[in-house]
Amino acid sequence: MKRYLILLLLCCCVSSVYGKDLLTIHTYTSFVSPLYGPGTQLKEVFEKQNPDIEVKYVANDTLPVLLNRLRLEGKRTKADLVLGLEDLVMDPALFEKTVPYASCCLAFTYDSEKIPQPPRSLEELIQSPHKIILQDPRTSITGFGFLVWMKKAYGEKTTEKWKTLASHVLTFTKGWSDSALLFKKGEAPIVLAYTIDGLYHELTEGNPQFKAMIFSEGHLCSQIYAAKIKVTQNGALADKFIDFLLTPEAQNLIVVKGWGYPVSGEIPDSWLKAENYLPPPAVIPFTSEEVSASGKKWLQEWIDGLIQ
Amino acid sequence: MSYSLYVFLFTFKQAFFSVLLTVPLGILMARALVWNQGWKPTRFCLKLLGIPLITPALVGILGFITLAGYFFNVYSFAGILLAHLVFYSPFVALFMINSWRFIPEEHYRLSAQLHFSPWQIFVRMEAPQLRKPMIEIAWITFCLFLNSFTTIMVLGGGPHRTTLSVALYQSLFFFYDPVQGLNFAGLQLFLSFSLAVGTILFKSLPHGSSLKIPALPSLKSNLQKPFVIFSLFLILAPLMVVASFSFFSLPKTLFNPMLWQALSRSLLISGSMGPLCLILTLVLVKYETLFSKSLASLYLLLPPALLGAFLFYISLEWDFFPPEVFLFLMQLFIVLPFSFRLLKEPYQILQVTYLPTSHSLGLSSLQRFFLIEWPLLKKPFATALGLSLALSLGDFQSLAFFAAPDIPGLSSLLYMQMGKYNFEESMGTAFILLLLCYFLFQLPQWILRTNVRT
Amino acid sequence: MSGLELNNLNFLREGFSLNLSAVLPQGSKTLLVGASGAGKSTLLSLIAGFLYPKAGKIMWRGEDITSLPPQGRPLTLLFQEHNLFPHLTLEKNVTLGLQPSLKLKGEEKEKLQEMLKKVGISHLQTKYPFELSGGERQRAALARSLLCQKPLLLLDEPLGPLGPGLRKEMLELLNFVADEFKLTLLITTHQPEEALSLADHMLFFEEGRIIESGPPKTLLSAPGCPELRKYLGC
Repeated sequence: MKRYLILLLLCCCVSSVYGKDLLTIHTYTSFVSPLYGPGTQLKEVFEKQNPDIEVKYVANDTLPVLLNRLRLEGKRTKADLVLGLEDLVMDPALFEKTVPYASCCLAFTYDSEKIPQPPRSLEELIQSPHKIILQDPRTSITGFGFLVWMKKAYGEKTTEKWKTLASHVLTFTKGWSDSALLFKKGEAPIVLAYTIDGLYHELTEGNPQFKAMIFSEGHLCSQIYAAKIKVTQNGALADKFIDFLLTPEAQNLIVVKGWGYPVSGEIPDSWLKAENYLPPPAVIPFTSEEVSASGKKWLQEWIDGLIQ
Repeated sequence: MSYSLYVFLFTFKQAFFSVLLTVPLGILMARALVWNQGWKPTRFCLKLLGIPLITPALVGILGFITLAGYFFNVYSFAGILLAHLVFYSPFVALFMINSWRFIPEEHYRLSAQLHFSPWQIFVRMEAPQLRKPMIEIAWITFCLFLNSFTTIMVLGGGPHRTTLSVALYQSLFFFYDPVQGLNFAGLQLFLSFSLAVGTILFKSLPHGSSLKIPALPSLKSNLQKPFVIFSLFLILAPLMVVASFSFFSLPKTLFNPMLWQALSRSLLISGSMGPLCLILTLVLVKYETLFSKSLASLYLLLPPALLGAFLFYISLEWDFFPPEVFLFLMQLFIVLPFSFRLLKEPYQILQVTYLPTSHSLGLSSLQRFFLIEWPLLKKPFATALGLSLALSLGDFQSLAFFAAPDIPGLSSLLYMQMGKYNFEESMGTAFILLLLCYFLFQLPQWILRTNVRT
Repeated sequence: MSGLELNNLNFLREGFSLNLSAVLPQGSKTLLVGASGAGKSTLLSLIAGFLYPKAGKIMWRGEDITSLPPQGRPLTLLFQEHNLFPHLTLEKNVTLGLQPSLKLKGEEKEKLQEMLKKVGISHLQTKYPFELSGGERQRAALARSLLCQKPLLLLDEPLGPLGPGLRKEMLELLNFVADEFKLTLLITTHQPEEALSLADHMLFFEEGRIIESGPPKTLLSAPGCPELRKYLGC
């Protein structure tokens, strides 16, 4: 019985393509989502340019899960390249090199019909009476990003500010999707999202009602990296793909399909013409080193502050 | 107070009060349904009782928020309790009705002759005979509430309303801290086990020597009819909300080719995983040991996040197995607590009542199965199969760990649409998902014709 | 004096119809004989009020009781089994006949003890039903019925689960209590010979109809209709 089972499983496993070099890219789910995310198109274009290379995506639930996985797999890992890493979640020890190919900035998206005069700084937002939907920093990258944002903006006073803010936070959801659902249903007029989200709305639904708040003192922004695994056997293929990501064609796909700011190349006309387009805003500086060193501590401060 | 202790206390508090509200309401609902089982709305309601269990949590919560949000602030402790009440009391009713079938109809006639008041009938006659299943369902719901994740995250609003499950998720998947994770898991195990011991200590009453074929008594009680209507409302109202959200965008939803791809993928997963889960359940029921019993309770005892993490990290270690194997195991653990309990009791009764006869007739085990076991087990089998098909379809959490395939299933599609602000379309997908869940839940019963009276 | 009167009683269920008239004089002991499936239990349920007839009347001493609820009727019905609640001791099970609240006053306690003695189970008071024999369970149920003080007692196959020795004992007991409490009895059985000593009247029942009636001795020794002859095997 056991023998047959193993045989059956082996049959399932042997399905890889022969004759081509295989480049295994680990990324997170939405990067390869057929609805959005540039993954599928990037693969198509790259494979057309390099007919002898096959790209295989392995999608992980979230970036932290991906990193844990790489740490656990160690030398056995089949991954050659990781796409989508951010400064917020980074472990340089795993990678030979990390190359930014896009960037994104957090921002609060608001319903301009309900809030004609949006807050113009983080402080104004905290002091405002509006209900806000946030993501939980314990389960979501954007939520964690905002935690870092608050820490960098307020230092010692963070806990106090959090308490004021929390009094009008509707809820902290597990992930981004839940927040978006509650926001669109109209449970609250403000949601933590990216600077690009208002633009996305305008271009896909033809309605500029939802806009991003611009804070003069700056936003929390993160580079998005392609990272080459230290122990990869296919280093040359990985390098090739990284180079490809920086070509104008790939950059255009990353902008149009991935809704991020490009590192090189042009912003498309359709964006520039749109009412809700925001150029990359002023940046609140932070380093991935300090986040990986103190992130846990900051999180605990947040927890302790809010459960009192 | 330390974070661990705080989370521990909150987890216990919400589970305790949820049980305190949900179980009595579920029993009231079950009783009203039993007492009016000939009534048309009752028959309709009986068919729908399984729905909240198979409804994807987030979809149900959205319906709940929309309705309850008119009356009070749902993002609160009361909101969590009420949401639990709405989602789990029909499940309690479903479970209790199955136990009600074992009360002999004579006892109802006797109670009438003895001039019992409705309250006395319950206290003197029904409750004592239902004590064991009541304690058991209290434990099952308590464990389900301990594991409550989505409801608490959406309605809880921050770290001051955090359960061990959420804390565990954080330490296993976000800031990888297995020591802290084990700490939380230990606390949760302590909670679920402490009550499990209580259940085991409670001995059930010895059944009468003759085991009757389970059937509901024919009773009538106009006084309890409002409860039947209330149950129907409780089940249908949140679904109607989702349906109404998706109504105008339904054409758009239906013409989306991705929906049909997702649908066929979901069908493929549930069609292959569901029956397989049930076959394994049958094997476990047939060779019932302490091992199979604890396997069947694993999903109740351990937080799903821990189970998922455990399987996920094993899948990395044993990478010669395709991820589908682990996905299947996860599904099996989710389905088992329900399917095992559905099949266990009928199977035992069968063994006690008919095993000697079939032995004396010299039937082979194959003949025994087809002539005796199958016809008598058909009904609970169909229910369990329906449940396991539907549950293989709806759960997001376990799917997310293992496979994020190029073609998403319906539930992943729902999440993607939500994430891109496609509210109407995501509600359309949710509605289709719900219909499919219900269809799969009922399908085995239609095919096996268990509704036909024999 | 007329006791129980059934006037053109009519009842329909899929595949089965019941249609009959009969009179049971007060104080009489009537046997209802018929094969299983003839509708005996259905008839008892109709009289006891667990089922309602489609047409016809049930009268007790000239009073129409057709539409009364079970607890309002002047009778108790003893079932073939499940007469006792499994979670209560014998004593408590019997007490229910006096007080659903189980709280007895002084004189009621005496009454209970007297009754337990009369049916010969006072030494079993603290036992639970599953610890009792079939005969002991029947006696307990009988004691409870008697405490209800209803003039009409319906018994559905009371001898069914008992062995030959116990049947005789049970019949003697029934005979005794019927006289002592001046009861009207209606007993179903499919073995009429055994109950001859008890009954003074017999109804032969088939497919929902009374086919023959009369004194049991006459009917059994010289059955008139072919159906009864066939049933008795002569």
